[in-house]
Parts: sequence; structure tokens; C-alpha cells
Amino acid sequence: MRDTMADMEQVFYPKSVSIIGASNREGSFGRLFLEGFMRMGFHEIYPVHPREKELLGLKAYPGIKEIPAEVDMAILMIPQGEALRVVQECRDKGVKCIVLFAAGFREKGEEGKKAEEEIARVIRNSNSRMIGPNTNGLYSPAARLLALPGSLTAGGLPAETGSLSVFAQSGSFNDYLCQVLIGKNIRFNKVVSCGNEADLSSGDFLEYYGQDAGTKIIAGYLEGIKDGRRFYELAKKISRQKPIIIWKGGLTETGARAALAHTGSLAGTRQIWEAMFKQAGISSVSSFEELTDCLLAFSWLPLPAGKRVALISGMGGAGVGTSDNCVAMGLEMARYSAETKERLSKLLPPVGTSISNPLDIGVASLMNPEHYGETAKILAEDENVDMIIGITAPDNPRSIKSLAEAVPQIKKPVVATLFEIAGLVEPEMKSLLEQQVPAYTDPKRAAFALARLAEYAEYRSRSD
Amino acid sequence: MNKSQIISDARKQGRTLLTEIESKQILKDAGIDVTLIKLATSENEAVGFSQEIGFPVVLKIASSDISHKSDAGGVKVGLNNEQEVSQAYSEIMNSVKQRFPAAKIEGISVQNMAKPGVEIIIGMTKDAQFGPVLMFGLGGIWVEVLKDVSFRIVPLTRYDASAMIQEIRGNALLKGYRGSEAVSITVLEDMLLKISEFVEKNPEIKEMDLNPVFAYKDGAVAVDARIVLEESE
Repeated sequence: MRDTMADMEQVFYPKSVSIIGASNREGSFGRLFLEGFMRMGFHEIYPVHPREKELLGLKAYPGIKEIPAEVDMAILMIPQGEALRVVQECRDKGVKCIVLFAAGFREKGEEGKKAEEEIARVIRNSNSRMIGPNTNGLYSPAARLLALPGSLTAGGLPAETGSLSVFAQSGSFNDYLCQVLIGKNIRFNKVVSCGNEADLSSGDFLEYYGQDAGTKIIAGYLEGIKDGRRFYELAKKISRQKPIIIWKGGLTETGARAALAHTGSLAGTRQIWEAMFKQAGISSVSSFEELTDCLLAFSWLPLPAGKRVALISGMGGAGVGTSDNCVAMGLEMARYSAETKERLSKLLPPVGTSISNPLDIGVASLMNPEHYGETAKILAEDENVDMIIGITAPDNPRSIKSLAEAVPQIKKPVVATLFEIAGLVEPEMKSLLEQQVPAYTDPKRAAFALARLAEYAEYRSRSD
Repeated sequence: MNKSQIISDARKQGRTLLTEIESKQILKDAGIDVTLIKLATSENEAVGFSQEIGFPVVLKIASSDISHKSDAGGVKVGLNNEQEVSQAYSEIMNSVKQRFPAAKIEGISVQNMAKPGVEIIIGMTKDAQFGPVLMFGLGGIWVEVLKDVSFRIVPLTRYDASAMIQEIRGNALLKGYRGSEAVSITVLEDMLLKISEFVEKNPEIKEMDLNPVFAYKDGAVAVDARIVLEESE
């Protein structure tokens, strides 16, 4: 009986790695990985190469069995045809985790399926675990482990750890998710590409992340699922402690079935998955942008007590349009208390300002940028307000600064939006993200992220 | 007949589709309100049952070979006295024998005619990924044409039952309109929860439709029901 959770230590915290298919040939993946591992600071690396005795300063070996030390992890950069033999050698060597990149298995038809089953059988009857085949690798900064080809090509990823852990069933999804989010000041705990899941599955990674102390948020991209019921039961338990955000691809398959009863023919794939997400407390997204937008909000914001949002805007038009977006997504427009209205009218000049929600402080903030932060603080002190969206423009950096400075004094979720004026928006956006204020180029995106956060908060507050 | 007997009889006869009478019996035993239904094998029996059950009654042909009973002239509703029941009995037999001469006929079922309520549908199917799933919707065109239905995976919590009822686009109809009374949402939630429990306890049931269920301000009753069993091992 395998103890998969115990085995996960070997997956994410290997102490020694063998790169099988390592190379010094310019432009090869074998070289990319070797250089990448060294640059990341991984210490014990054993390259395997049929002929070379030395690669990039490291001693190389003709086969894994020649390595005179324990090898915790083997990264297999080899052709599909050699996979079975090399997997057997790794098993014989006692490698604890095999990462099989080769494609051309189950995803490629009957022959590939058979080849994969052969390998799966070897793994089942061994003490080794396997990621893949057809995996895109993994990233575990705490172990200085980076085996994502796209990120390696782009120059690597930080060794800093964060609390976001990810599993994905798409090839390069992880590479891009990591690069995009790291650029937005998010750091990762563990990232893995599940591949064909011949051994370790998305359910296994979900279970592990659920009990892993370093992981506080879980995200995933899923296309299919082997054991849906298990995934559902796990997610239901885990989401009580940590948010799970999933992008499910493939919802347009009809899944309708021939059934003797009417119900069966109506139960399409999309509806069942949507039911599952609701019941399991999973936040569901349907695009890369929605996923990254939510991850900023879930990483940096406290859970709101309700779904009442206050909009501050320097431009009347955007505020009203944004209210529509908020309401369409299930948020409520907060109604200020009389005290708040009074405080605001004392703070803000009467001309060009309307004390309502959305709060148009247009002219006011041009004259006095500090009004932005002051307004946010007053609104946050109103018990009728659960969340704040500050619509700002990057040509008024002092008002943005004022909002950002107010944020640490506010215990409720605050997000900012910035109009995407080329040349002006980039430094302001960067600065907000560095201060861990979720920032978006469109208030509609802010509304979406806050709506998901509020739904999750409501799920957590239910005890059923 | 109790549930195990009903199921073993059906299996002996090599069928997985239970009759309306069998399905309702099983549901009744599980605590779900169904119309009171009996199988008559003669005109006299039918009259007798209708007196027992109370008018008005509905007569339906009972035959596993006929799935669309009204199309076959096999359904007569709103029968208010013994004469109407007698006449309906022979009309049904003639019509069905003419259109489906080879059909095996068990008899004619007699059931009370439920007073009109808001028509809803509750169903159950097994999803390959997630197992048994319940479905809720408003009957008639709402489910047939608009596919305005909601799903939840078994087992349901009360929150799930409540949410799936609120989710359907046509849920305003449950609140009453143009003279019809609002239905009891609590009763519908209870029904969903009972069915969820029933499904959990009976893994040999593969699919189920309660269509229609008539919902009222103080109750809900399944007017037709169909249970499909898993293929036997």
C-alpha cells in the first residue's frame, strides 16, 4: 500500500537529481536543464550522457546505475521509445521520483496507451513514483528545483517561496502562469504539471496541497479527471481551510447520454461541473486572466464580511458602468450610513462631487490627491461597506499613492484599477503590486475578482 | 409488495424499467408523497378502486410495452363517477388493443387525480465522474424546451436543495402568479433531501424521474414516476 502523501516529500524536496539526456549542445533541452538547475542553486546534480565524462563542469555518467550516490529524482529528457528501459533503470536504482517528459503515450492512440500502461505497471510494482508521462515538469523553490522548460528558457524563476501551489493538466500552462504572476509579485510554493497522470494524479496533488503547511492557496487547470468523486470529496474538505481556484477546460463537451429517464439526457458536462464547484466551495474561472486576477485578490486580501462594495472613482462615467458590472456579478452596491455621508461631505468639495455609491471624487482628487486615501478610510469605517474598488488614473500618481498608503490601515479588501495609458500605467501598476494591492486595468476585472472572493467568504462562513 | 420483492420480480422478468405502480410503491415506502394508485384487471375492479380512492380519478393503461401512454389513447383523466370510469376502462382497452395489438397488458391503473399545482420535475441520474446527481426544474416547456434545470451531486445538504431551487430561471413561478398560490419551498427542499437520502441508500437505482410533481402551498405529490435499475451483475 503506497503512502502517496509521504511520497510527495520526494517529489517536491529531492536532495539529489539526475538529468538523463543532459547535454552541452547549444540550444538543447539537455543543456537548458543542466544550466538551469545550476543557476537555481540545486546542489547535487548527476548528468547522464552516453559518451561525455563531463558536462558544464559536472561529472557525467553513462547510465543512472553508474551514479555512486542515492538519486532522489530523475528528470528524463529522452525519446518515447527509450522511456520504458530508462524507467526500469531508475526503479532499479531506487529513484524516488521520476519525471517523464516524453510525449506520444496515451494522448496519441492505442500504441501510446499500451506503452504508457507498461510503464505504469513498472511504477506500480516499485518504490518509485512518477510524474507524467507527457509532463511539463515542476517548480519547487524551497528545494531550489526548477524544471519548467519555458521558464528556464526565459532565464529562470526566483528561489523565493510563496504560498500558492498549482497543478495543471496543460503543457505550458504552468510556465506562463509562473512567469505572469511572478511579474505581478506573487510567489509560489509548489507547481507541477500532471501530464498523463499514469501514476500521480491531480487528485493526489490536491490532497497533498491540502495538507501541506506551506500551501495557503491552491490553483489548478483541469481538462479531465480520473476519480471525480475523490477530487470532489477532497476539495470539499480542503476548501474549508484554503481557497481552491480551478479553471476547467472542456466544458463544452456535451456529455449528454442516451438514457431511459429524461434526466440523463439533460445532465450535460458543464452543469455537473458547475454543481460540483458550488458544492465543493471551489472558485471557478474561465480564462487565464480571470485566474491571475483572482489569485491577486485571494493572495493579498482578507475575506470580506459580505458582498457590499463601494466604488471610488475620479470619473463619473466609469463608476456607474462599473456598478452595473458589480451587480451583474452578484455584488451589492453598499449604502453609506448617514455618518459616512456627513464625513464625506465635510472632506470633499461640493462642486464636481456626488456623495453616493459610486463616489465620484473627480475634480476633488485632481485638486487634492490625498482625498483618495482619506475617502477610502472613511468608507472602510462604514459597517455597510465590505470591499472597496478605487478607480484611478495613472496620470494622477499622487492619488494612487494616497490610496496605496491608506490600504495598510484598512482591514477590508481594497483593490485599485488603472487606465492602461502606455508609458504611465506600467510604473504605477508595478508599484501597487509591489505593495500587494491587487491592481487591474479594468474595473470589471476588479469586480469579478471581488465577486469570487465574496462567494468564497460566504462559503467559509456557512457551517453546513 | 416491498422494494426488494419489486426489484427481484423485475430482474426475474429481465427488465430494468419499473412500472409506474412499482416506482410509486417504492417511493411511497421511502416517505415520498405519491398519488394513490392501484392496478385493476377488470372493469369492475377499476370501479371498485375508484370508489375506494375517491373521485375524481385517472385511468392509465399499465403495459411495459407502451411508453407513450396518452398517444396510444391509454390515459383518461377527470373521471368523476362509476359510469365514467366504466366507460373509460373499455375505451382505453379498445384504443390500445387497436394501436398496439402485440403489447402485453398488465391491466389499467386507477389513481386519484391530484388537484392542479405548480408542475415541477425532480430527477436523478448517475454521472460517470461524480456519481448520483439530482435534477430540479419546472415541468412542461421549462424542462422540455428551455432546459431550465439545476443539478446537485448526492448527498445534498439543505443549503444545496435551497440553492438549486433558487437557481432555476423560472423560480418566480414558485412564488405564485395570476391566481395560483405560492408553493412551499420548504416542502420541495424536504422532498429533494428525502430523495437524496433514498438514492444514497439504494445504489441499485440507476435513474429516476418524478415528472410531474405537483407542488402546493402545503405539500407536493409525485403524479408520475419512473425508476430504472442498474443492469444486474
